[in-house]
Amino acid sequence: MSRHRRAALTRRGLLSVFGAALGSRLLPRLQGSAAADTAPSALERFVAVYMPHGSAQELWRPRADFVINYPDASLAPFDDAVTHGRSFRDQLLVIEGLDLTAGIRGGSAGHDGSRVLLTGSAGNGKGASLDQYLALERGLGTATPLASLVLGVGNAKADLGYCISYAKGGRALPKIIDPAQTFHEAFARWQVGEDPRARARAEVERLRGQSVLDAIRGDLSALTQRAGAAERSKLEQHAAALREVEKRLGAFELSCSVPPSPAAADFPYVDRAVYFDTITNLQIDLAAQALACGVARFASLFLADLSRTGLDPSLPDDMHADVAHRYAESKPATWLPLARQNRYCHDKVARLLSKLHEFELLDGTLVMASSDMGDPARHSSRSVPTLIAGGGGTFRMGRYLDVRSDGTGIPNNRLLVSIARAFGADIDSYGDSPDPAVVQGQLPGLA
Amino acid sequence: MMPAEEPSRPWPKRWLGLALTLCPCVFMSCSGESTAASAAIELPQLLRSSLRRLTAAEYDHAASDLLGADVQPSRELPPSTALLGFDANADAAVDALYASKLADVARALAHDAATMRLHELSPCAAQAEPTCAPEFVETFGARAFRRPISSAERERLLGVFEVGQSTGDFSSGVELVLTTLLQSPSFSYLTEFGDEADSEAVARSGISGIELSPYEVAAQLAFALTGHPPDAELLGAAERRELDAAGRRQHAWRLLRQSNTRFQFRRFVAEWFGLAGAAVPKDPALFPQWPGLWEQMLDETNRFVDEVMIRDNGSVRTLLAGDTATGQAGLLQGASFASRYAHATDTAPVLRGVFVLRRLLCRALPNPAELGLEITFPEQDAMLTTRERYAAHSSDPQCAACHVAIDGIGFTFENYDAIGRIRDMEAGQPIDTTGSVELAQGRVEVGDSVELAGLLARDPEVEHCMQRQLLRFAMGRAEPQAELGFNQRAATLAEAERTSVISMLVNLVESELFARRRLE
Repeated sequence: MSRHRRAALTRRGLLSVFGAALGSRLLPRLQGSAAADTAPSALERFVAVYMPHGSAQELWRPRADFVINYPDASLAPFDDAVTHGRSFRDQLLVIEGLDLTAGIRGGSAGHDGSRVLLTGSAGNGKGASLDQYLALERGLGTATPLASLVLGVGNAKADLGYCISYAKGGRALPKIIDPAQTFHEAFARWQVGEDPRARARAEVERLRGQSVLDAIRGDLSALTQRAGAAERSKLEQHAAALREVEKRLGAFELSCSVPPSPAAADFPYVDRAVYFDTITNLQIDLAAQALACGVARFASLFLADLSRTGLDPSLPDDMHADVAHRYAESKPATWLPLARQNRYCHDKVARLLSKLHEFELLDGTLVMASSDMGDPARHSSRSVPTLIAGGGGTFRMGRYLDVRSDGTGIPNNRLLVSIARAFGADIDSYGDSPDPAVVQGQLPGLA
Repeated sequence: MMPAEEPSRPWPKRWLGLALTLCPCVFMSCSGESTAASAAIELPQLLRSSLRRLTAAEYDHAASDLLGADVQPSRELPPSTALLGFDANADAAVDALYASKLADVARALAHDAATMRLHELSPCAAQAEPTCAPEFVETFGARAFRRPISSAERERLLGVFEVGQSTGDFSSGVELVLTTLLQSPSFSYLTEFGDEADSEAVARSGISGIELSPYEVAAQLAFALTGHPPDAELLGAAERRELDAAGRRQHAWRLLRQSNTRFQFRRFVAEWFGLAGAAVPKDPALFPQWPGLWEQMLDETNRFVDEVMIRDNGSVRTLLAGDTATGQAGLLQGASFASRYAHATDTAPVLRGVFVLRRLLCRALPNPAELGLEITFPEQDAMLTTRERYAAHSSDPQCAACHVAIDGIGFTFENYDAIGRIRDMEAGQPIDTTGSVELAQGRVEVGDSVELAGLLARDPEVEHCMQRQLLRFAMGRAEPQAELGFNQRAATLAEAERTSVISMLVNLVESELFARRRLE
């Protein structure tokens, strides 16, 4: 773990600017407060990636001896040292047979399946997604400038089917889809600089900001006192949001090398498919950099529905209608187009791994990537193609794990429980479902 | 596949694009006595007391009103989660990203206002008299919170003012107070607490129905009818406690005579029809003329909605089916509807049918994935018509359970292509627009979508559904019991009233449903 410190943020600036008295007032808050029953873990960071359009399992499934670079294999980018500097095959765990059961039973399957990926809950669930749970409820994100980064590509909607990060209370969290905004939230905010006048200005801003925040809090608690119980989770979320805003008043100093601000000319429109590839790369690079700088330990990334990106000249323009909808297990000719689309997404996840490796973070970071569907043409949320990567030796990597028995999958909640436990949370169930069997238990075979 | 040529292919004759001139007398003519029953609503039919965060548009209007300048802070804010397609959502919270962006945008707006318009905001600023800051805080606190501020709030805001002034000058104090107000929960949420004294009485007696305070009523009324905060007249009426049912009705009609109310009806239709903020991509090879067309279609829709609101009192019948006397088509024959509910290359009978069932008839329709059904998307085949390609839907019994109803509606629109143009041939065959719809009286066969629209326009289920959608739109929640209560209230009204979007909105505002809440 010690080698990550090199890149982590320090509080040197805070103390030198505001003096020891102020610093000591702020420090306890910045250090965060992990929940009492959260054990120390080798894992420090968690990144979740949503990939659209399910998968062509035939060209996704590893061959014997965990061969993932056979011809047309969609997982090949994970074993592609030429593109990504090294192979990540040994840091990859490929899991087949996870079903989004809570969603299938609760009316949030198919296009709404992304609701279930990290929450293990259908649309009416009240629990947080795993990234938010670890960051806020377990307190693992309270010491960093940002509790988490919630990113997306292509569509900013905070509606069902467009989000994987959910707050406690069950509300979707909006994504940042503009890399310039990602840069602003992750880096620009925390830079004060060495200029004494800038530091003096920052101190005035801090005083003013605290006064504004105190007044907003006063108003919020007055409303909270009068509101009914049913309103509580909404107001608690607001209070938690204000705690995040308050962190901006502390002068975090980023000791890492801050990346340059993304060039807006590279992506004049964030909602036009032709720029999605550029935007995806920027979002991945910025997220990895933010983790490296200690800005956040938790991130989620919602990749765009790749309709009409023209990402591969051999594929139809309309990925959604002409590839994902055409796939059929029984028609081998339909496998390759979907596998190529899958490979595009896998290449992006491999890019993330490569960046994390570059920053020496891969061992302490668990990356999870999955989709809302298995067979996309059937809009089936059974057997969603799930990848785990990185991970500090918590799970046994470099292999394929089929968790089905007699062809029947098991709820993805088990994986969420196991990941939460790997982060030191002593829990036995995750997610909301009327049936306890859906939410309880760990995923066997991970260790 | 559809040929890409023939750019002159006509769109159906429809809206005339008459210039909008709001005529108060039209609204006046229908502001006669209500025939609504005055029976008290039962407790379960009341809406639950909630804190509804302002929508993006409402927040913009409130900020503009507060600062005395036309501002659009919502452009800088992340989008909110919609409630069944409607922007108003009483479940919306403030998350970390929203709060963070709001802090930035509030600071920037407050800085601009205090720098550029200090003397409008605080006329006594130059004299720097000791009463000047309290006056400013009192006035702007009340404007922001849409009610007089409490002594605790006054102290709080004066404290902020002093920090601002002590780290700058008088204008810094103004700026910091405005920064605070723009982020204050009392500014961004609509409260439903009732008067403090009343709610204490409620708590003591255990009665869980409360009356909104007059200022809460004023705010709810203004936002529901105009999307804007209450004006001085409405706040005056609240102060004088004049906002009983008759007072609410009177102010409702007064506000409806103001020209900006048309935006509220446009918003209702756009959200109801799923047109607001929709990305509608079309294949550039098939539809090279598409760029810019969608915006024109929305303009056309808006003009049509304006016309129906002004000339026809917002009749849902005219909205849906147009006016047979003038030959003007309704929304279902509109290019915006046909384009929105179509794929990039083809028509989408399923999307069109599902829209009618879910949005116009308020029917619950499961997703195939929920039912564990395997979907097979119809193959592309230039030799087959869309209807033929979708044939499996009605032959496979599992699919047929829903798709006979869905496709039976969707097929009637087959003469409108993916960008709403009229077509009479597909795959070398004449277009077949026959279909059917399941209504209370049973399955009804129709020749085309014009016939379907005429049928739907006069259907009681559609009428009920419009009322429910309007309630969701105005109040930001979907509570079935309250919706049922609203339908029951509507059933006591004359036909012209209960089928009118405008009359039903006024009826809502007038009703107990609007002014009372259930505490939970």
